This record gives sequence, structure tokens and C-alpha cells, in this order.
Amino acid sequence: MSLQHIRNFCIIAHIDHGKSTLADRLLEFTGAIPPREMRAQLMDQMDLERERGITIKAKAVRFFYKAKDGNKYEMNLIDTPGHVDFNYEVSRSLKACEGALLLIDASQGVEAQTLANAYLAMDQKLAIIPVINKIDLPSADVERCKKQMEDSLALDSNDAVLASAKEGIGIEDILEAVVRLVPPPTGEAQEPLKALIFDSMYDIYRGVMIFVRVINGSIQKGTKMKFMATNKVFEVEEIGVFKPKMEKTESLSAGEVGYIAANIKEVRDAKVGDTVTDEINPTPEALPGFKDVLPMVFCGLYPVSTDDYQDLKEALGKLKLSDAALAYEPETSLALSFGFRCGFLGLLHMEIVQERLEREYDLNLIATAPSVVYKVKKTNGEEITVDNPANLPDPSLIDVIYEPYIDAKIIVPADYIGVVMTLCQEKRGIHKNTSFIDTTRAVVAYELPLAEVVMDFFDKLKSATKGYASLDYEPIGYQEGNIVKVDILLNSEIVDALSFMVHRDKAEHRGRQIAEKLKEIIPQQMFEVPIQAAIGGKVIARETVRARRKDVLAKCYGGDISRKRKLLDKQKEGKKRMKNIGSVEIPQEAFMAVLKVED
Amino acid sequence: MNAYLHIPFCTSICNYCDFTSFAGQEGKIAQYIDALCAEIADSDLAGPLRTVYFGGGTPSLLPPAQLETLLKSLKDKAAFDSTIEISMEANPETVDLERLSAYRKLGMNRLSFGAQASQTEILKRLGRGHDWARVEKAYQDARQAGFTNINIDLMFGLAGQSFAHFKESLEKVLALSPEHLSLYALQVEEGTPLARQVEEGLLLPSDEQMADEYTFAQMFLTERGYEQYEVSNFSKRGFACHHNWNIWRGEDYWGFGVSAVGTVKGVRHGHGDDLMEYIRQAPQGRRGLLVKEALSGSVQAWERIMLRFRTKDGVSQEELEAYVRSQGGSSYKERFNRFVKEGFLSLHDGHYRATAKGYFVLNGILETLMV
Repeated sequence: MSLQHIRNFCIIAHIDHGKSTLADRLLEFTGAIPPREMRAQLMDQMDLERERGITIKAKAVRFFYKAKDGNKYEMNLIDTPGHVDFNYEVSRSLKACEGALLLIDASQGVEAQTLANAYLAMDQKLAIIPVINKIDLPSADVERCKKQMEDSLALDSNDAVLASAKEGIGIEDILEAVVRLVPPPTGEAQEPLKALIFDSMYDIYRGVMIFVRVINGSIQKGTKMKFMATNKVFEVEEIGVFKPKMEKTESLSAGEVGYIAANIKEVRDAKVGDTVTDEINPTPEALPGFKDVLPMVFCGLYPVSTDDYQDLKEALGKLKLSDAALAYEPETSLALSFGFRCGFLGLLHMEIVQERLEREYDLNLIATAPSVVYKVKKTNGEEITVDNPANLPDPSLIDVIYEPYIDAKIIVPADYIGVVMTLCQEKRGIHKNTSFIDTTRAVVAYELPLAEVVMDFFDKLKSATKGYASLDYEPIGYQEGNIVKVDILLNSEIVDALSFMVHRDKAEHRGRQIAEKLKEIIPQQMFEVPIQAAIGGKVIARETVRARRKDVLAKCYGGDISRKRKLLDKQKEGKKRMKNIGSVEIPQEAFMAVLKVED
Repeated sequence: MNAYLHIPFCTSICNYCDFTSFAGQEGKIAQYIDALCAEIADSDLAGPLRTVYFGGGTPSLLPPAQLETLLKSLKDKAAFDSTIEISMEANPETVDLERLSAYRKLGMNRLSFGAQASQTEILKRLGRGHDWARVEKAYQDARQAGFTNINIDLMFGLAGQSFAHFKESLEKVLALSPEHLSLYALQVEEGTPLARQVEEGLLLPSDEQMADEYTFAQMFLTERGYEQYEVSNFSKRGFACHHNWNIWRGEDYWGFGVSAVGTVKGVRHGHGDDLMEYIRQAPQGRRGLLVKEALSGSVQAWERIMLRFRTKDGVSQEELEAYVRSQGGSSYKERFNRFVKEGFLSLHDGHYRATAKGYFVLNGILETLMV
């Protein structure tokens, strides 16, 4: 296929604006998969699910479209992850495309990720085709969407395609727009091989499969390919594309998108953003923009039932195969027994991993409060990193603690500049500057301690700006901080899982919050339970759970005795499911509620 | 031996009640009495009988003649001890001097009036059919009829009942100077109209308020010469309810009638709660009426501890030690020492006893003995 007839594009959208439905509909319309009705008749539900699974998991799907101009086009639809934690991954996926469908829910309008993704796509100089989706909904407001699109993104709303992926409206218009507006890829097939790894997945039979966009040259089975950042060399075993079923091909050349299997065992050998070249005839220069992603946020993950520890271990091992950014190592806690200290790209990555562990592996988990990685200079000159409050040395041995900072760019409608600045100030931010994109939108730039961001910044930003703020951030290194460790004590015993590190100025507030929350959820015991938050030996907040005063059954006559005995048995059974911490019985759910406490 | 007879008839059903009782079934009373007599006759009940208790329902709905029939069928099986206690529950609005005199003549010697509260509004909400004047009248009539052992039931924790309401009720009862007082903390029982109301948002007094009321009542009654001999029961010296006391101390008791429970020689027997089924089955023999549960040695030992802790007797250290050891449990002593230190239990003559404060959190205390 000549490059003139290839279109590489992706769909970018805010969550729930209909991305996967549109992808399905494009595949159905072009005959890549049979239409819904037919499938329902031809395959049983299981098969349908399996088919769906492939569609969802495929990172790039190829299909063909016979356009109204009479030509047949090779369309490569590239998937993009949809979270700010994965900005880097998104930017790599976008780099594999020449165009993007910007999908907007007709009743929701432009939202934070719409903007964040659209700006990323603009940065990559992609052709952007706005698609207003769900126009069949009674609440659809196309004119409002168009206006927002023009005001906030300076896109020509005359280009917008009106569609309903669910109802199959506008699908052909979208395909025609892709053909017409997305430029064909450029590249030189005769040059030495240069390809971008934009995603990877783990297949139990083939190992790590990488998804590449070939920029120059070509690659085929047997090529000894070299990953330029990791310096690893692998011999290509299989090349192919997803249509959406996996299909082997002879080769991939400049402008094309596909997968490569090369018996790669570990996902960390094939990093997203790395450049693939030919070991024998290498390109002189790697593609720009490669970054090694390191975990920035850590938390303890524990099975609710200690019996599930082995299952959790295996599940993490499996996730790690396909998730290069996930890090973990075993950890023990007095309160929660055996679990793992896990590292993530950010808070959302953490949530996704947790959700996958719970949903795909059917695990019931407790997560401790997230922590960033601190650098600690000890009085003896030694420097250590601390990602777990439990590992912080005694205060007398600490000279200085350094905490990670980020450069945050918050894009926000002008009306919300004030609230965003107030929030950033609260979060110990240092204002860098505020600039306007147009008369209605501004970029507010702050340096923020990452610890403040991982706590609850997203939620607060979202609620303060009604969801219109979009956030992009980059780590910018460490700064000295007045950081202390706060311990929570029940009956004068430290509950290790509740310890946290925090800026001194915020210690009291947060300590009191947790103490209050605990007071609320700890069931009354026979004795009063003191709850304290303390820095070292100094108590900074205290609450008391008053003793229970009534639990007896009033009547216990001849007819009540059996019942009363059974009630006691049941009560005792319930106690077995409680964690005994500081000789205080705490229901598991209560413990989880404290860990979720937010400002 | 002790016998309990259940009389499952009421003119209306109170919203909190989960005892088996039927309203508007007075037409079945005669058949039911026949069935009860048949069950008693077919039992192995043997004397001497030390206590008989007519509970309900509303036993005072029965005319004296029917109670006489029941007493006679008991007497046919078992001799009555010379000091026998024969108790019956009565609703104030169902009795007058004539009827009470007749009851007394049958040999009834202990009456238990369900007063519950002194405020008309609260009583109405409970679904009770009397007011305070009615309680006073019934009480005076009972005295006149010759009853010298009278109990009055009061409840606390009722909807709309303040501390002041409860105190007022208590004072009014005390002014009558009954021999015995039962004070019940309201329990919301599953399946009752009250449970539904609570689910729909009905507010009840807090545990804190109830604990305050309980503590107040304990002090108030003790000062006036009443002894607390069980979690919910207070009496003047010598007037504890023998029937219940015997059962709490582990004596055997027979249960007769719909839903009645008894325990004889380590076997607990219960009845179904279907009135018509009972009436149909009883003539065919007692066996067909019963659901039996053999109590293992360890269950009996545990029940004994559980019941004794509810009374002023308490439990000896040896008994506790032996029980916990038999269950393969570790020492309970550390916890119990703390209970003593914090004033939930007292330890005298080698016996642990619940204190005034401890009675109200007995579950928490008992729980620590369970393995």
C-alpha cells in the first residue's frame, strides 16, 4: 500500500464520552468485525466477550475503508491511555499518528481531559477532527459544544462531525473526514530502520509484544533489532497487525503501524518511547523525547484476608508483566500483617492497579495512605531515600529531608483562576506565572510539592473548577522541606499502617482529621479508647472513644435462653473478622475508611 | 419442678412485641384450653410443683373458670408444693375487683401488671389499651382481692420517652409500693411493627440516655429498699420471682402451649408458633408438638455461666476456670481483672459478680469468655 493511502489516527476523549463505542462502530462499518446484530446471532455471548476483549486490548487496529473518492485506504486506529499519570504514554501514542478524532459528548461538552488531550495532540501537530458524539440524546446541545470548541481550543466548528456512535449516526462522515483531513504518513523506506515503541502488551505465548510505528526503513522476521535506550537486542520472531484478530504480515515499513514479537521476557526491556533500529544497519540518531518512567507514588497494599497474600503476590507478578511502571516489594505491618509496598506513576495509576487487582484478580485490598519518595540526609552524612514512613530514621538522626516537587500547568477557564490559585497556595505551591491562551482560558503555572498533589489535589481541583481544569505536570527535582512523621496511637500503641509523613505546618490538621475519623468509626468498646496523633513523643491531637454503656439483652427468660446464646455466638463470630489493634477491635471496613480520609 | 403456660391471646398487639400472640382470636380460647389440657395430660410432668407461671399474650383475658381448668389439669399430673408460687401476667384494662378476687381464690398468689409507662401518649404509641389511672385502679383492686405479691413492668428507651418521663413513671410506680419491679430496656425485634418504624426513621432514645436511666433506676430503687437480683428485675426482700429465679439457677422447667419452651434433664423442648396447628395436633399427643434440642455438657455449662452472670449470684472463679479450660481457651483473668478494676465486676468470696454498671454491658463481659 502506498503511503498516500495510509491513515494513522487515534481517538482522544474525556472518559465516558464514547471512545470504545466509536472504535467498535468504525470496525463494524468497514466490515472488520460483523455488525452487532449479526454477531449476536452468529456467536454466543462468550465469543462475543472474547472478541470484545481483543478489541479492547488491541493497542492498534488495522482496517480498510473504501472511500467515496474510489480509493481503498489502510486505516490504523491507535489506542491511547486516558489519564494524566500516563501523559507520557499518551504523548508516545500520539507520536505514532498523523491525526486525532477529538470526541466530545454532546450533552457534557468540553471537559478537562478533552482539553488536556487536545493540547497534547496540538503539541504533536496532529490534524484534529472534532466529533460531537451522542447527538441522539435529548440533552444534547450541539451549539454549545461548538462554541466551547471554538473558544477553548480555537478549532473551526464547521469541521465538526455530528455523530452518535451508539446509533451508528455519522460513522461514514467520520471516516471520510479522516481520509480527507489526516495527512498520509511520510518516511523513507530506504533509510536505516527507525521505529517508535508506543505501547506494549504481554501475551502468554509470545511474551512481550511491542507496538511500533515505523518512521523510516522496514522491519521483518529475522531482523536483529536493537532498542536504543536499553541497548537490548532481540531477533524478530513475528510481525503482524490486529484486524482486530491478530494476523501475521511479512514486514512493516515506513509509515506503518503493527506489532512485533521477539521473545522479549520482560516489559522493562521494551520501554515505551524507545527507538527500535537495526543492529547491523543502525540509524545514527534515536527519536527524541524518550523518558524512563519511575514510580513517584508509593503505598502499601494488603489483602483484607491474610489468606489472600499468595494470590496478591501472583497477581502483582502478572500485572508487572504488562505494566512497566509498576514496582513492588514485600512489606509487613503490625496492623495489616503481610502485603506489598507498591510504586506507581501517580495517584490514578495507583487507583487503576488497585481496581485491576480487585476486579480481574478478585482480591479484596486495603491500601495505606500514598507517600512520595523523600530523600533524607542523616547527621552522619549518609543520604537515603524513604518511600515508607516506617523507614524514616529517628528524628535525632536526621539532618535534612528533601521532598520532590513538580512543575504543574493547570489549564483553566479564566473565571476559576482565583480558586485554582487559592488551592495551590493551600498546597504550599509557589506561583510561577499565569498566562492566557485566549480571552477565556488561562494557564496557571505552579511549583508544587508532589506530596500535596498525591494527597487529594485532583479531587479538589476538579470540584473547585467543576471539572474544567486540566492538569499536566512534570517532576523538577527535590527541595528541602520541613517534613515530619506523624504517628497515630490507639490505647498508646502506634498503628503503623496509619503513620504518615507531612509538612510540619499541616501535621496538626491532618493528625486531628484522622483522630476524628477514627473516633467516628471505632465501635464503642468496654473501655475508653484514647486516640492520639503524635510527632515523636509530642501529642498534637487527641480524641477519645467513650466506653460502651449498654449491650445487654433486657429479657432472658426460659424461652429466650437458646436465642440469647446464639446471639452471643454470632457476636463473637463477628469479632473474629475484626482487626485487633492496640487491643482495640476495629472492623475491617472502618480501618479502610480511615485510610481513605480526605481533606 | 416449674411449669410455664403460654396464653397467646391479646385484644391488640403492641408494636414492639415479638412474643407469639394473636389478636381477635378470642373465639379459639376454649379450643386452646382443651389443647393445653391435652398436652399437660400427655406429658411426664411430675411434682412437686414449686412454681407455675401463666405468661402471654394476656393471660388475664381468660375467665377464672378456664384458668381453673388449667390448674386442675396440672394438679392431676403433679402435686403442688405447699409454698407454690402461681404467677400470672395481667393487663390493667382487662381486670376488675370481681375477676381478681376469683383469680385469687383459684390459688393465684402473684400478679404481674404490664404498666410500661405512666404517660398516656407514650402508652398509646406502644399500642397499649390502658392509661395510668387504670393501672392504679387495677393495683388497688388486686390488693383488695388479697394479692400480697405484685409486680409492675416498666419500659425505658421508648419512642418519645425522655429521662423525665421515665423518672415520673418510676416515681408513680414506687408510690404504689409493689413488691417487685421489672425494668425493661426496649429491644427492637426483627419483624415487629416497631422495627419497620425504626427503619422508616422513627427515633429512639440513645444508648447513652438508656444507660443514664438504668443507672438512675438502680440507685433510686436501691435507696427505697429494692434489691436488684437480675439485669431487669428488682424486688423487696423475699419477693424475687421464684419461677424465673429457679430457671436462672438451672432448675428444670416445663413449657406448655404455643411457642412455649422448657428444659428437662438436659433437653430443651420448644413448640411451634402456629395456633391452629397446635389446637389440631395436641389431642394426638405431646410428642408431635415439640422441637427438641439436646444440650451438650459444654452448652449447659455455658448457659449456666451466662444466666448466673445476669443474677446477683455471679459465678465462681473455679467454675469459670474450668469452663474456659474445657473450651481450650487461654486465661480470661487478665480481662476480668481489668473489668474489676474498671468497676464492671466485683470479686468477693471467689465469685465474680456484675456490678450495677456491669449488668448493662454483660455481653461485652461474657464475650471475653468465649473461645
